[in-house]
Amino acid sequence: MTLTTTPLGGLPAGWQAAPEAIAPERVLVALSGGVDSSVAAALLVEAGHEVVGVWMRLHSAADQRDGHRKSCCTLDAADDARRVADHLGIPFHIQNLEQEFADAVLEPFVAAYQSGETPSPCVGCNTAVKFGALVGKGSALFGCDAVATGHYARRAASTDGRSWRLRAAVDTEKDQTYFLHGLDTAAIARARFPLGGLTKPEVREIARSRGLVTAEKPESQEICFVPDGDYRSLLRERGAARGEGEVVDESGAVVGTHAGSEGFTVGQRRGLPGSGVSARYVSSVDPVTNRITIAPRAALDVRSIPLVEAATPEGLIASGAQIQGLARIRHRGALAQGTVTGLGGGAATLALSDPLWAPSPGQTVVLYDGETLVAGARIARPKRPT
Amino acid sequence: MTPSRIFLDHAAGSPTLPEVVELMAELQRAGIGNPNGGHTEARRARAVLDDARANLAEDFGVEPRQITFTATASEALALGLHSALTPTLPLVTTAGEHRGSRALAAQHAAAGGPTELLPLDAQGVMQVPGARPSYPGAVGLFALASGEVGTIQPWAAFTTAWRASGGGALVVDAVQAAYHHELNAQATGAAHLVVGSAKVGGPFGIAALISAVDAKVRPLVVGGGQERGRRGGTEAVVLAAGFAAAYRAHRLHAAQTRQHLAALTDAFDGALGPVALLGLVPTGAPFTSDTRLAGHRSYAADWALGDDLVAALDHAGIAASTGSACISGSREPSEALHGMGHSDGESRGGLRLTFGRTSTVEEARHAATVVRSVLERVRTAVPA
Repeated sequence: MTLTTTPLGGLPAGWQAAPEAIAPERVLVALSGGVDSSVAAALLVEAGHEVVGVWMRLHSAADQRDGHRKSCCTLDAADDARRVADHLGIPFHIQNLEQEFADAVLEPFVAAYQSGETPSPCVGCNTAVKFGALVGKGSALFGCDAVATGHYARRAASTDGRSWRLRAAVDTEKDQTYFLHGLDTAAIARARFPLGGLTKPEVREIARSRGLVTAEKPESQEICFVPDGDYRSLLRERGAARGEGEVVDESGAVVGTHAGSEGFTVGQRRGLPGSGVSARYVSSVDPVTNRITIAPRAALDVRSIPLVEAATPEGLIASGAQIQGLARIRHRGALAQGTVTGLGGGAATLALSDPLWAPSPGQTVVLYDGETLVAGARIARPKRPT
Repeated sequence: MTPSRIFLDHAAGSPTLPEVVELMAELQRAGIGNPNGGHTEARRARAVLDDARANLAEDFGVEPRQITFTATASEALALGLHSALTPTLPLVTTAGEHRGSRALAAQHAAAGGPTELLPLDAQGVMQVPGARPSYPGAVGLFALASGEVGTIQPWAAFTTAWRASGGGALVVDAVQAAYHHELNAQATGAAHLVVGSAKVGGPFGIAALISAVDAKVRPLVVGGGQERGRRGGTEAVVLAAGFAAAYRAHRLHAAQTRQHLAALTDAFDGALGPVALLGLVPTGAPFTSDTRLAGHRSYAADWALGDDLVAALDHAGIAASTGSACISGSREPSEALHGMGHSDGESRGGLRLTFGRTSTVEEARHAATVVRSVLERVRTAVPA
């Protein structure tokens, strides 16, 4: 079977498309200072909603360093967010969520690298900060029932209206449901994604036509709290760097050294010996021995992936429960038919009909039924051989 | 009819008085510009500036030549301190000062200058420890009254103790106090006294340093000899005129204003009810005492960030403040509240409501009901 990168089909039986906020309501919009959230706010205003704009102050990294301008979390970004709010005639507030961000994103980020995993900080930020703490603040401070962002995602509701799922965005290149999988049904019910039905070029065009100052701003790609993408220096600051260690092949033979195993992730090739057919990739990272194992590309194809925190929007997947769908193990990555089987306590196994390449512990797995996201989990570290 | 917005941040700057706006517009229309030049137009501008300086001097009980106009009170503080302090002289200040002053003290300390913080008591009154001569020749940087918590320092007693402990020149922030008192600059004993315009209904962008006759002013900005060589750069003549006019109007009505402000806070306190029921603790001097700035109310909540309370009140139509100017959205606790013994939580949860001459009793009553309902809602919603 050919692997596809687009969730297939439409809505599963029993689910209906949830249009974004028809009746006027009071919505908090998380303005990042980028074009997407600017347009999200503009569309909500034009649709007649009462919109409150906020910019989240999540950490102080951006205050202290230069050359970190494209991020959503700099003072420049706050200025742009404020200008957009002024332009749209909506109130604007800066919300301090540093503590929540440190607890839900920063500390787990460091801890993940310490335990040999590759964290996915945007997932924690979306789940615990944007659609967690910010929702609470929006309700408490401004009486907002909903929180909107500039994410490319849509929502689906069960026909009885009791359950909610994320639904892939129309623009499959931009679809961000992968990073939103931690939202439970209550969070999805309160989330608004005004851009879910638009393509990125359409969003830019709306921004231009409305004269938004952010219309031509470049995409922010890097991790917002890691200036210049240099997460290793952050780990060093936190005392989480491990220093030099051994590179071994599948047989356990030492084939070289590395400058710190926290700098490697499963599937990585950069910084390793070999090229072309003899190229080698990281197949595992052992934080205890500070050793990385490398293997040929084909050795990283897997049909079974251990999971933790496996959940549907309704909660953890119970022991013995099975969920089928198209699985994806990286943002915009290939999809393969798979079955998640619950093992209790959020542990689960994903069995795949076709192999997926290089699942990286700490990263996210999501499962789609048609366009809807039915389950998500974190890839567990394989048990060390005893 | 209930007003849609209620402005309760007068301590940060009152709306410019209508007569001041008129005066400035008139001067601007008349083409008042650069007062430096040998022509009639410059002399007309110079005359306006001279009048402004003379009127302010009269109001503060000093000679016109003792006044140096600056753009902001922060600049005047920097100029005063720069004039009084050398890198090796000890600087004594408190944690309760305005951020501008604290930053200056931090700069002195960072450059290796000896710096000491006087302790504050629970009401924010600064304490000169013991009778020993602790501060020989030290320069003091103090505010007559705290904008953050409204406490008026017992200045006469303080300066007596300061002198007894060997303290030297005083650089005094009178920005908040000038709205409360009819200040006589000489009587404060300050080497350099700083007053601002916006707090008394004058324009933003102008302030003044009032220096003692024998206190030399060392310029921070050099230029074409303006302000007797104390501050280079063309004088902001129209703003200076607005400042002087606003202060004159304020002096004329000071007694009534104080009465009015007392009536406003009475109405507000009465309508708000016991603040403990709202989870607030009052900060600074007791609300009913005369050691508190008129029209000034400040509180702390240990269950919310001050910025969040300000945002929620703003959304409900009330302009309030945390009282502690800092980086937007910062979680840093207020040094003043910390210094007064408030907990970390309380020091992050400062809330200040300040009334002004234009506030009405109806606004005060209505504001109280809004504040109560907003605080109750936020407090209920905050996770325990």
